[in-house]
Amino acid sequence: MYWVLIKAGLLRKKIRTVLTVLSIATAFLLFGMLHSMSAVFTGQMKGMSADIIMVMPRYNIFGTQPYTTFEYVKSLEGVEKASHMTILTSDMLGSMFDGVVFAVDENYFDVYKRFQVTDEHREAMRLRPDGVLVGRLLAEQKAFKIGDKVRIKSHSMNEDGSYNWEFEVVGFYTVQVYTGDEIGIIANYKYVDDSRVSMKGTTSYIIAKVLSPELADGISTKIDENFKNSDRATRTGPENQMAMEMIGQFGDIELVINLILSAVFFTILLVTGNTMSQAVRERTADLAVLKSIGYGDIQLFIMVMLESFIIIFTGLILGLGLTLLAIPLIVAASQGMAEDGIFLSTSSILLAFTIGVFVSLVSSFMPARKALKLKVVDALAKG
Amino acid sequence: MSDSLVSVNAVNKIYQRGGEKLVVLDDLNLEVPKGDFLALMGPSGSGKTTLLNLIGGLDTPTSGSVEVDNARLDTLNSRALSRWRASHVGFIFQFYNLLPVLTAFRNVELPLLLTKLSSSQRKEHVETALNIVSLVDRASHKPNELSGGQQQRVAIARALVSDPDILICDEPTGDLDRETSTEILNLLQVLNRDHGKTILMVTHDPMAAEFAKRILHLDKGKLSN
Ligand SMILES: Nc1ncnc2c1ncn2[C@@H]1O[C@H](COP(=O)(O)OP(=O)(O)O)[C@@H](O)[C@H]1O
Ligand SMILES: [Mg+2]
Repeated sequence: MYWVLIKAGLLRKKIRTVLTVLSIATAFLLFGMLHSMSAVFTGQMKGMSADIIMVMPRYNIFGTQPYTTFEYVKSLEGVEKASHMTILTSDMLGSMFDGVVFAVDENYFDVYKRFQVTDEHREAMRLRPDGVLVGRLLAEQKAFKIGDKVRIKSHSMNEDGSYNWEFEVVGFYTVQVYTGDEIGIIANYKYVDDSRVSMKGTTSYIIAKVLSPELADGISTKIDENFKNSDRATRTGPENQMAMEMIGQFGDIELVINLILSAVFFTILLVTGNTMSQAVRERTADLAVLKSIGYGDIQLFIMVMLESFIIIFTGLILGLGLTLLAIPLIVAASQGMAEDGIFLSTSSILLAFTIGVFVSLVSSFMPARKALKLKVVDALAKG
Repeated sequence: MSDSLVSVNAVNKIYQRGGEKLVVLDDLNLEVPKGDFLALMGPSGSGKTTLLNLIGGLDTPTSGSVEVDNARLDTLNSRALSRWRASHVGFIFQFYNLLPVLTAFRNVELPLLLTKLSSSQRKEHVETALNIVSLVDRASHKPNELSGGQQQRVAIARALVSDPDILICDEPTGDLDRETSTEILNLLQVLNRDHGKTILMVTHDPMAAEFAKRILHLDKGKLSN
């Protein structure tokens, strides 16, 4: 029964209906894209484990910590094993896509299981002090082969008094779960530290595996307490939490996304609300006739509501559909960087539908109420 | 209980306008027997539409009773009234008031969507109604593809389709030329005579009123012959 009337309502001003649907689709496309992208920032956390803690310099995430901090962490009760990594590349953000070189302790791959390497390549690394392992994705992008040279600028001074460093590719590493992370270059810490004349005996991040995940918070607090108020103050926590904080350093992405999305939905609300109230206004006579024929107030209320639901959900499905079509294109354009990092999660889709229901209800309530309250006698009185 | 189909007793309809009271219907009585074709005339603003709306269950009186087909309309709430309208009365307005995006067929079908009829039963009823108004061949046309007279005939078919006892026509020829008006009035006569419909029609036009069985005048809230 409703369908004939709703169709009649939607088709009454075809162009306006189409435009409204399109603007809603655009809004949901934006929603879909932003949500998929935010997975790039949060997606890498999927593979992280709760029993790995990271110890970072408290006030400068690109700063360094003395080796003694590492030894202290290693000695703590509840810490099963520990390793560390030193960022060598001076312009870390700038060289993100060229491969950031970081030097790690020998046991790095034993502690940090998310990064994996074959025994053969690990042995090659051990045999060649200036050897490096290149992330698989980076290697594919830059066509790195074994024997290739890697040259970078560092903030650590080399033996020759320059800041230039040269390494040789001896193998590759992969990252479990989030392949977008395979974009680094791993060097031998011992070689790097022996060769440099500045910043000797320092490291950037310390990674510790604790005996059980429940210990992670306690140990983290203990470390931070220990170095509190010193020039080597630390910021320690489970790695996923730390990764989240690091992202936070680049700007509050979640906040920006949420602000944009709020603007988007406010717009949808206005657009749909406006369309629906116009639709009801210009259909005053139709509604009056329907009432005179015997259509009930509630029936017409529901009809207007359903009409706005259909407009919004058509837009929603169109918008999310376009998002799903766009994702493979973006992933392809990112040359693998975004692989399994850009995706529309079920929770994003559920959120979109929740928003859809909410916006439909809010935007159509007043117009629908107007239809409900409409008095046939007044509506049909002419002049 | 009278044998009248419509029985209006001591009805007052008073509108409040600012501080002023406007008495539109003043202690008005009206009996309409089954099968009547009544023309209501009167100056503009005399309350003709108001009276029709009371009888059609679109409005309720300030006081007095309105009884149609043994239902006391003045005591029904708006929900019950709309249900009552669906099966007892058909409205025909001056400006046809068809839904513009629907075909003639769909417009006529609208009242039936409220019933439990199957789509094939609805089709049968719609075709019967369109047949009575001689518009079967225009069933798939939209209102803007039809002339004024044809649109009014579609509106009449819509009023007929649920087979109500009473048809309420508020200036049904007010927007039509002489020739077309005659066509419509002839059609109303046929509905009255051959299909047993009781008709209440408001008109300005004395010629139109001549098609009715009797004529009443409304002035200053009272009816007279
Ligand atoms: N809802 C209303 N509120 C106030 N006055 C009204 C209302 N409806 C009708 N009236 C007044 O009641 C009188 C009768 O109106 P109506 O029945 O439409 O007259 P007619 O159909 O005879 O021209 C008019 O003076 C009109 O202005
Ligand atoms: Mg009138």
